Parts: sequence; C-alpha cells; structure tokens
Amino acid sequence: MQTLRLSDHLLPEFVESLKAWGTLWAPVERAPGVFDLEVIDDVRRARPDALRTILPFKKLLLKPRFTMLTGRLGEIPEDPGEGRHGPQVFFGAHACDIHALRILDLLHLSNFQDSYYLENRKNLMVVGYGCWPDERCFCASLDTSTADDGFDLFLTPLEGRMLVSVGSSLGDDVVRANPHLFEPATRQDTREYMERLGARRKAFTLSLDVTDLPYVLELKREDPVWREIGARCLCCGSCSMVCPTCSCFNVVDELVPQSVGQRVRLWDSCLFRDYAVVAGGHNFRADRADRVRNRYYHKQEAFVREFGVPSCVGCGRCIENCPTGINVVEVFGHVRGDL
Amino acid sequence: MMHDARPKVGIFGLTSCAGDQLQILNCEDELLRLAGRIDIVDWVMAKSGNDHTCRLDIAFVEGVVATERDLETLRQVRARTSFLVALGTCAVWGGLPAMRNDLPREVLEREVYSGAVDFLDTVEARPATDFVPVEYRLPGCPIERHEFLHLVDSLLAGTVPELPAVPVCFECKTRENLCRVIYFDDVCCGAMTRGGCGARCPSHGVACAGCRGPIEEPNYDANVQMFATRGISWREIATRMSNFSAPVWMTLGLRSEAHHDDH
Repeated sequence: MQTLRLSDHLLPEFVESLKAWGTLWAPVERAPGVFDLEVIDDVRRARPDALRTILPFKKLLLKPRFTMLTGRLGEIPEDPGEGRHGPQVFFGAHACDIHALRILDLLHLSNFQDSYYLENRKNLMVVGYGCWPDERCFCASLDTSTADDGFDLFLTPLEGRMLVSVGSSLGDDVVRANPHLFEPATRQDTREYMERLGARRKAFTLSLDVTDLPYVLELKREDPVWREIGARCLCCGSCSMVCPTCSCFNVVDELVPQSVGQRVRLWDSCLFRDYAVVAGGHNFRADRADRVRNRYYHKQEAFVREFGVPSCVGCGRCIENCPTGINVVEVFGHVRGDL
Repeated sequence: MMHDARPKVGIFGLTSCAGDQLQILNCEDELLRLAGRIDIVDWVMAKSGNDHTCRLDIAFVEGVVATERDLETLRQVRARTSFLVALGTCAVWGGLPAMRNDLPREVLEREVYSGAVDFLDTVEARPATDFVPVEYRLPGCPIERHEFLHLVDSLLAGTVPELPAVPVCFECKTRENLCRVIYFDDVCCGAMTRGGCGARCPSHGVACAGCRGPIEEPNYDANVQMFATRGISWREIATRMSNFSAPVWMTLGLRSEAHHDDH
C-alpha cells in the first residue's frame, strides 16, 4: 500500500477529478447537522467529514425501489435497467461504511450472486475519509473503526493536509491520472497520523460488549427484555432503512396503466408485520416482540454463525433514527443484565 | 366479468366531501382511456342519464354513513353489485366526519347550526365498511389516483392489486426526510399509518396526519407515549390523531387520553 499526502487547498480539484470515474456521490448537509448522500455537481458541497448520512451508501448499490422487469402479457419481459447504475464514486466513506460494504458483499455474493448488486459493486469506487467519533459511534467495539482494505483511496485529515492511502490498483490509477495533486508522505505526516490514531481511540465514549454475544443471545432467547422492547417498538422500520447492512427486500408485481405489467424490487424490513407471512396466511413472526428480537438476533447471532462476523458496524444510525429512543447498546446491555 | 360488453360501473357518494370522486375525475386522460373499457352507468356527480337500478359489476362507494338515507343508499348499492369498493378513508375508517363521534349529535347540531334547522336526521358517523361487506378497501384522503387506476386495470385483468401494507415511515425514510418526531417534536402519525402516499406530507415539511388509516397492527400505546414523553399535551395528541381514524383510536383508549390534562 502506497501513502501520499494531499494539501487541503487541492482537495476541491481532487474531488472534481473523481467525476472522471463515475457519478460522484458525497455527503451533503441537508439541514443543519443532518446529511444525506447526494450526487455532487459543485464539489464545494461535499462534506466527507459528515459522520452519518440519513441513508447509508447501500442505496448506491440497490435503490429503495426499482423496476426489474416490464412487459405485456404474452411478451418476453425486458429489464428497463433501473437497477443498474453504471460507474459510481462514493466519496466520504468512513471505516464503518467500508466494513459494511464487506458485510453486504458476504450477503449478496456468497451463496447466491445478486446480479444487480454484483454489477453495481464492480462499478463502485470507494474513496474513504477519516472521521472522528461522536457519542453514538461504537465501531471501536466491533473492530470496524479502521479499515485496512476494502477502499480504493482513503484520506485521513491532518493539519492543513491529508494522508492518502492507496488501497487498490484503481486508486493507483486515480493518483497516476493526477500526479500534480500528490506528494510523498513525510515522517512528520506519519507522526501526526499516529497521534491522531491514538487520540481518536480515546475519543470513543460509547461501547458495546460483544464478548460471547452470540451464545449469550442463544441463552437469553426467552428473556422478558424482548417483550419490553417489543412494547416500545413502533415497527416503523426506520432502523432497517438507515442500517448500512440491512438488505431485506420484497418483490411485487404491479399492473400499471395500459396493461403493462412490472416487477418491482423494494426495500423491506423484518419489523413490518407482513414480512414473514407465507402462502396460506401463516405469519411466522406475527408478534411484535418476536420481530424486534429477530432483528437483533440476525445482527449479532445468526450472521455470526453464518459468516463469522456480526452484521453491525456500530455506525449509530439506528440510535439516531429511532423515534422512541430504542438504543442498540442499551438493548444488549439489558440482555446481559448490566442495566 | 361480463359476457360481451364492458363491465358496468357505478360510483356513489354517502356523507363526504366528494373528494375521492373528484380524484377520479382528476384522472382526466386516463379516465377517458378507461371509459373505453368500462361502462360507467351510474355516477350522479359526473354525468346525466344515469341508470339507478341496473345490475353493476363494480361499485365504488365514498363516504360515511351519517344519515338513515346513507344507509339505505349503501344497502341498495351493495345489493346491486358483485364487487364493492370502499373508496377513500371515510368509507374505510370513518375519516373526518367521524372525528367527533365522542360528542352527542345534539351538541354537534347545536354548535354547527345554532339549532336553527330541523331537517337533520344524522346518526353517529361510521365508515361504510361497518355496515356491509366490501370486496376491496382503497384508503386515502383523497385516494391516490394511480392506486385507483391500478385497481381498475387490475379488476379488468381479473385480479386485485396488493396495496402497500408498510407504514408511512418506510417511504419517508427512503426519501430521507427529517423525522417530524425526532427533529420537530410533532405528533406525526407516520408510524401508525399505512403508506402508499410516498410520504407526501413529511416530504413537504408537514407531519403525517394519518389520512390513509392505520397499518394492520399499530403500536398505539408506544406512539402516544412517545408523543407524551416529548412534552406534547394529551389534548394535542388526541386532536391530531383523531383526524382520520378516530373510531379506531377511540377503541384503543384515545377518548380517555384526551381528558388526561383535565385532571
């Protein structure tokens, strides 16, 4: 891995140069202190330092809703291409996002390859940006607070400049296409980077004890805590929508005017009542508490059993977006009996 | 549906603002296209020369039963048609006319008409679906035009569409709106209300008023507690929640909640 430096005043030019590699997405301040991931034209709007966007980058890979097929009765249906996004650049990925991307890869590319995901994933350039935790970040507990790979370039802000890690041959191409923007990193850069790393580690205020968590959960399946949380949960699905690793989707057939049929794929949530309804009308999780428990178990138990890692990266989006204030760290604390 | 001709369709209004029928008229070009495939034989609001007695293949009924005459109309339509659609939130859930069912009719009549009229024969406003079985419920205040067209197209194809069963929050979140509860302390009914509107109101900076009626299993207690915890008065909560589905919320306890502050 190659390490370079980029002066702050050259950052806009660097970001501008990324447009050559695809549609450029970056966090934008949508309202004071609230960010979303948008296609960037004016690079000065990009806010890579933003901790969380309302929806995570997963929307770049699989849109909340897209038409898979369209056609008339008796005709061979066609893919209108809505689910295939072409080359895209995600500027402002944090370490947790990069880990989430790895989790999405496990989910979508391991057993059955999701062709929409695969195509968009191959077309995605990831340009990371070093963040600073707030009171809702608990990535350090999940080993997702730094990323060793999984990006093309990664920028770490230092005083007046950035340290640039090149993480792939594509990242190297970007550097080679813009040689005037970069200089070799100095010993002083390395020193400041190390200082930042140490200070950042101490900046975390929230932590989640994941010790033996899958087994603890197995033991606590019938714990009354799930009823208590079920009573508070609105099953609005907000946590699933904003989660960088929640990937459940639904497929529905619709008849649009002129008798054109279309098959639509849309995001779904295991918290919605009809999620586990099967043919014949039986609902495997008709009870709200069962659905709430299922979501937590999928993150910290089932996913670990299947893929060896939890499917939570500690980004804090679900904490920020729960209207009734359900907090994942508190939930697992309750389960352990800490609180 | 019919052996040779286009299906016969009737569109009717009980006590209501006629907004759902207006939405059908607002379909304009699409309506003209549909007119070639269905035969609208009875629609007092939109045409003359109606046949009030023939058999119908599909009937749409908007509104609540708030008078004896409404009930009579509804029963007649039910008897005439093989497929009855409850059109709009009034017909499905009670809507605005059922908002103040907690007040006796005499009080409402006196407050609205100052006792100066004696022609009213009103009864407690209840949704059409409380009185007759219906084959389909199309909620909305007003209905979404695309959902109406989707329904008619599907019926012509021999099926019915599956409406979204997810809450408004789903659509709101995918549009990346600022949550009206979290950022504005609003009484936003999004989490208990059925989506399908594309979260239109929150997308324009207004809390969801609940116009499409409740989702299948709204967590009533958690919603009202959430608002109360944010310092919103019980009266305000009850007022905001009662707009469109008062009969449902009243059953769940909103009537007593509304008087919390009095004690």
